[in-house]
Amino acid sequence: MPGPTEVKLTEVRLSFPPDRAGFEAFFAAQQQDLLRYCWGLTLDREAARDIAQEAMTRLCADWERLAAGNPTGWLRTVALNLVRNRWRSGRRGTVALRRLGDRGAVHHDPEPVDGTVAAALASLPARQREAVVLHHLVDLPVAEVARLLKLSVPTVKTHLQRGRAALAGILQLEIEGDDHA
Amino acid sequence: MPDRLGDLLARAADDDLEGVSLELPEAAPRRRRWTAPALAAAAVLALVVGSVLVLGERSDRVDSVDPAAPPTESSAVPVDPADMLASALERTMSEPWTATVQIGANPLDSLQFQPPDRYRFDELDAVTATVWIQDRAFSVAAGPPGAIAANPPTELEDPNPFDQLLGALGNPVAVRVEGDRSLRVEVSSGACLGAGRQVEPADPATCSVLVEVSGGRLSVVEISNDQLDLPESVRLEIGPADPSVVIEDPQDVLGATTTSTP
Repeated sequence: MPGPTEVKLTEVRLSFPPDRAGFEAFFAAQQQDLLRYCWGLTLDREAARDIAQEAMTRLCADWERLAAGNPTGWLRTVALNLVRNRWRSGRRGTVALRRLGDRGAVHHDPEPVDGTVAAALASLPARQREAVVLHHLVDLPVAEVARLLKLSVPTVKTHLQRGRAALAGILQLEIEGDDHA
Repeated sequence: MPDRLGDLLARAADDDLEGVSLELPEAAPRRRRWTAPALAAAAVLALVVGSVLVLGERSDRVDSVDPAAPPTESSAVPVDPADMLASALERTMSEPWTATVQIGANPLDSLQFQPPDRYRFDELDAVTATVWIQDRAFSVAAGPPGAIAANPPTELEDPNPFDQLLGALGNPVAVRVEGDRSLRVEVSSGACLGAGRQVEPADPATCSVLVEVSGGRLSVVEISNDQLDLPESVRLEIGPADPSVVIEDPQDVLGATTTSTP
């Protein structure tokens, strides 16, 4: 029996997607919204740009297939996963540093420019922040937020209510809670 | 229309993002696609490795823990994960297993994988996997008898599962223990769907599958990925092909030694 060998992969190289103009129009129309969305999830302009760029690059690479579906929703999902992956990697690194006794560790939490709104948003638990960003910043209906976060609608509403309450307390505002479905 | 909170958030975002813009992506070479043998091998390995951790945990526990003793967290006898993986892989791959895959409302498709001497690894080639135990990662090879002994699991110095999964298709699988009875299996979405049904291989991005152990079976209870074109309902069950090797209730033994993860 022959010994183990590497998995064989087929590399396929394609030229520009045929609908390059369509992608460029989509890019122009969506990049600001995507940046805002990524910013809301990361509260870090550099991280937001990196993640938005990566998501848009992936979309471009598969534009031919994805254009016919819901490329905006696809972008949001990819970006959300990238943010979560980044968070997990960061947490893993933190655990490793803790194990090393933080020798030589340099902590640099991002300092939000808008110290009030961004800091208030940063104080929310991740799920609440995601729900608030998707519903209030991206203006997605609750049902769409639930689908994207893979949560039930009541759960999303709970996150929204708690998130709004926390933000209202921090920002000393009255925040309306119209969870339009 | 954005509400008052939305306006506040948008203004804060725009203030912080001033001067930030994206570069229009150039056309990039499409990601590599999986060949059918690679898909099958990766799928099999995903299932095997998923089983391996559970079986490995079970065996270690059966040998070292009094079943009558009340379960306590983090009471595991110190075992080098590399040794555990090697022995568990060898042990698991000596038994036939059946994986049943259901996609959406489609009928069940079955995939049975056999011990290595009957399973045609010589055609499917050997594959490697990244196996996570808590926050430590090990590179594990699967293949014909002797392959594991010749290539024992090695700990990865700088593991980044996401970079590896997305960028290095030579490491198509990642498995992490999550909680007492759950494994997080990450495979390429193409490999995941290719297990039981011919599906257009999706972009080989992360496909995250949460596997729970219950009633002697491993069940996928959650599947997520960054592709929207996957069926919403994907269910995958793994169980021993031979009823004589039915797993004893893993809940009793798994809860005894696995450290709980929040």
